[in-house]
Amino acid sequence: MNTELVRILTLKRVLESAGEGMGVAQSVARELRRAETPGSEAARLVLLGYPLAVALRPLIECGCEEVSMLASLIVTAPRSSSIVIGRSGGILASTLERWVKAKESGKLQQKVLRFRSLVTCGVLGAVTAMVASLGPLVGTLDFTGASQPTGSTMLLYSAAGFAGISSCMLGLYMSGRSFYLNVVVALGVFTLVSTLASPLANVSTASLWGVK
Amino acid sequence: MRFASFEAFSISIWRIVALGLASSALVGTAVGLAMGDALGQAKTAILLVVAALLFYVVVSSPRRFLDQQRVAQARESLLLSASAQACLTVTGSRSKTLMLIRPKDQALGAAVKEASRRILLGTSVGTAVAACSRGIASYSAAAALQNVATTDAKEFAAGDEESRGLAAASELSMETKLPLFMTVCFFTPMMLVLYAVFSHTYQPERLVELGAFEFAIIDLGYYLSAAERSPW
Repeated sequence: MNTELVRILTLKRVLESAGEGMGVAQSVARELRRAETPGSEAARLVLLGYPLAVALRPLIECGCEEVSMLASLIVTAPRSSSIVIGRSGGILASTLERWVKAKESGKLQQKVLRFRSLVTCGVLGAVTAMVASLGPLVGTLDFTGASQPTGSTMLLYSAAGFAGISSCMLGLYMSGRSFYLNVVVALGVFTLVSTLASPLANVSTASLWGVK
Repeated sequence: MRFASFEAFSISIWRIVALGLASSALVGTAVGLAMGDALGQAKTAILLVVAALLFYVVVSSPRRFLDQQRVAQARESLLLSASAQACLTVTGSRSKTLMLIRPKDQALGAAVKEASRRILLGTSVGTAVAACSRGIASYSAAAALQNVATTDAKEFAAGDEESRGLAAASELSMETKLPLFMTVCFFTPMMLVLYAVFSHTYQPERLVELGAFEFAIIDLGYYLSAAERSPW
């Protein structure tokens, strides 16, 4: 099960216990004792006598906003009433549970979108390589016997650069820090296609001038 | 003309327009210098398009910040309602409740602090909250503050509904903007390679200029297509 969901369910049990009349510290110590860190760390700190605000800090600062919200609510219990906090926290926990589940399905959609962007980068690399390899050849089919353009190798390198820039930005948009995967895919496919197309690109165009 | 985002950040419309014009002129000049003569006669039209896009990016940035704040505050409104409800049940006092709640969101925290300050100065709770909740971007967070005295389970639903609405809006926005950005990323390099081929542009310096132009276009596309932050 998702770690965040497990933590929310554990904190929900803490709130339910508190709502039934058990003290907040006792609920934390009982429910979080068997939990994984940082929950077990919080239970240990409560048993050592630290105040709730200090003991639950690992959960508040765990990086998950939903867990942090529930932990913050538990910390406010001594300022009001643990029973009331426990009761109102139950509703909040259910809502947050739904949010975490929605977040989980959002992550799955994001994975599909990342894969789609990788495929796009691959196709981009292939098409750009094809255009850059065969473009100079096709561009000189003027049947006048003009010589092959010089500098087509430079065009190939530039096209690789263009594909690299595009795939980098697309990767940043879709995958964030894993943008390098998009660049690797685009440049890998570019190299492969340009290598495969190089024999065709190096064909010398026969002069068709005077052909009957 | 009135714009909620400009009013929320107390930004003068003329000031942001001036900033937008200055930024677009600066970036237009920089892109013009970086591009050189690679695109020939089309350069002026392209620079105008780049400047116009940048102007839009600058002028619409307060709206983006406001949307981000709204998402954060809609989420926070749940916690605000729960803690306010608990505090109110125990203390039985609206003013004490307002002083006990500590929102994590900066703008929301500032509004609560300001309301508390006004209450301590003798303003009634209703007036103080009404005055301070005007600057809050999320309607459910503002409602949670305004209904401190009558806070109940319905308030959770308000925050939840707003978050769901924002998530749906974010998804729709993503569905629109993603294909747009993919198209820009896919076709820009191909079009530039085709341009280089058919205009016989093989000089290294011209190709570097085309690369700079591509970067400018895709970077602008990136900012224009940047999706709003989803609540989850």
